[in-house]
Amino acid sequence: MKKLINHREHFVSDMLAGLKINDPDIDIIADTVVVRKQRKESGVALISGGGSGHEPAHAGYVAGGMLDAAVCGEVFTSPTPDKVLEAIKHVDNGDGVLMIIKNYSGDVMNFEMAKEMAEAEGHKVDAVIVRDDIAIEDAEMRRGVAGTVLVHKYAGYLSDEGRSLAQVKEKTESMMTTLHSIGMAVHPCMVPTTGDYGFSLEEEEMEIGIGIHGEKGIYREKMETVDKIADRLLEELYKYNDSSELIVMINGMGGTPLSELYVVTKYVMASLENKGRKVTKLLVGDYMTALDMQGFSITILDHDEQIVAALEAPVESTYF
Amino acid sequence: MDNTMLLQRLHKLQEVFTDKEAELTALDREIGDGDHGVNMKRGFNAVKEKVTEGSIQDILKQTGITLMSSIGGASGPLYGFSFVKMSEAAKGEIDVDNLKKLLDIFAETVSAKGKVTGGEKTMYDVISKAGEVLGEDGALKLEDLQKLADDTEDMTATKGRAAYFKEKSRGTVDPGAQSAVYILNALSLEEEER
Repeated sequence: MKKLINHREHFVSDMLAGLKINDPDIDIIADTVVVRKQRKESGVALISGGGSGHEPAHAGYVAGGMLDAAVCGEVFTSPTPDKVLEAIKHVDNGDGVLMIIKNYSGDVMNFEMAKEMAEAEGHKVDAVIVRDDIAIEDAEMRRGVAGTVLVHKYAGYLSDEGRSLAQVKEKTESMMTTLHSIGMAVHPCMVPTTGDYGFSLEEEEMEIGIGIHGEKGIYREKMETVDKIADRLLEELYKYNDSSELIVMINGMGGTPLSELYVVTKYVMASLENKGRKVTKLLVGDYMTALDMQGFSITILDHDEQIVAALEAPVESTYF
Repeated sequence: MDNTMLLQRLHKLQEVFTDKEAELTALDREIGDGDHGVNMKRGFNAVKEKVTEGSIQDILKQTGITLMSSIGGASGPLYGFSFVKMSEAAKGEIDVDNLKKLLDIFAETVSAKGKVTGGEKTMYDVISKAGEVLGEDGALKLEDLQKLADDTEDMTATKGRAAYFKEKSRGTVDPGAQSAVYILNALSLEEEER
């Protein structure tokens, strides 16, 4: 398999080096922690992170208006507690630190261990856990996927408004109660550390309910036309949402051409309109990817004026 | 087992996980995300490099800290924290009674940190039963441990990434259970060449 990767062991460090060259406003500390060069002097500091391979998440969202630090693990592997602790120590300005964690047992364990260590050193740290992937039935076990990026943006806005740690946590948690996503793939991603595809798909098949780590989907089905796929995914989402006004994000999985993502956008919007669902805010692009996976996810949440204002507020990230 | 023997065994795990990388990756690709092999290899590469001397307690503790900061994922904190916890109860030389105690702590730590019980198709299914296959001479034989891992094949996962696949997780040995086989085997008090 040909890939623009020099050494698979150096993939993450090479990638972060390039990211830093391209973005003069960030710094990298402790090898894999991306931080703002200009530290925020007041306001709740926001940390996210997780395995790499989801670019621009999360490092691309370290910018004014969004995250203060992103802790980058190996590809699809949670970062370790010592790195998360470094991030907390670096960003805490005394107003406390909120960690935005995607719900994976590794991420939750590593971030929570770092939280314990940081608290022992006198830092005020809290966490919200994103569980937006409805492909997983059990609500407690749901994975954090593309919806996480909306949580970053909303929390960044709340922090810039000067809200307290408790308020930022409470408001983001309330937002997450209506935040739901589901994804599909027509082609798996190649995991560079192993050189293997995460799963195999026949020409006539598609995978519904994929995660963002090259793990298999929950349902394998016959490939359909885009309009039918849009209907299929939205039907799943409607099981958890009956609101007539929605915020919608159509997210590319990394290997989907933007042209195809626009085709998807057309049919998703038509399908929503057919059902009488009004979209008050639409986001389309590669926000939370799975390397070169071809496919997309849809995230929806209830319309809320403050959330729309937050999503539209200025941000210094190139990727939002 | 004295500190020299323990250190040799832990360093040997670097070779073991290099050999078994593909096996663990293949299991993880079926019911996880395909990186368990490479993560375990990275962890024990780091142990070989960074843990080079000390008492039994020092070696176990340093191994734990090193694993915690190098494996990542869920296995990192689970194995790492377990070694740190075991270091607190380890004696100057590990005998059969002390090993029993360490195995109990290993199981308790994984259960508490991973919020897991038996039968959930995880590393806990091997670790928690290791005491049952521990010989009177303190042997933790590879074939006995392997049987415990093989028992996870028919289980349905309810914890970790494999749980996303529910019933479909059956038919594959849990990758964490498989890596636990090698780690526990390294703690065996058997003297012979393994």
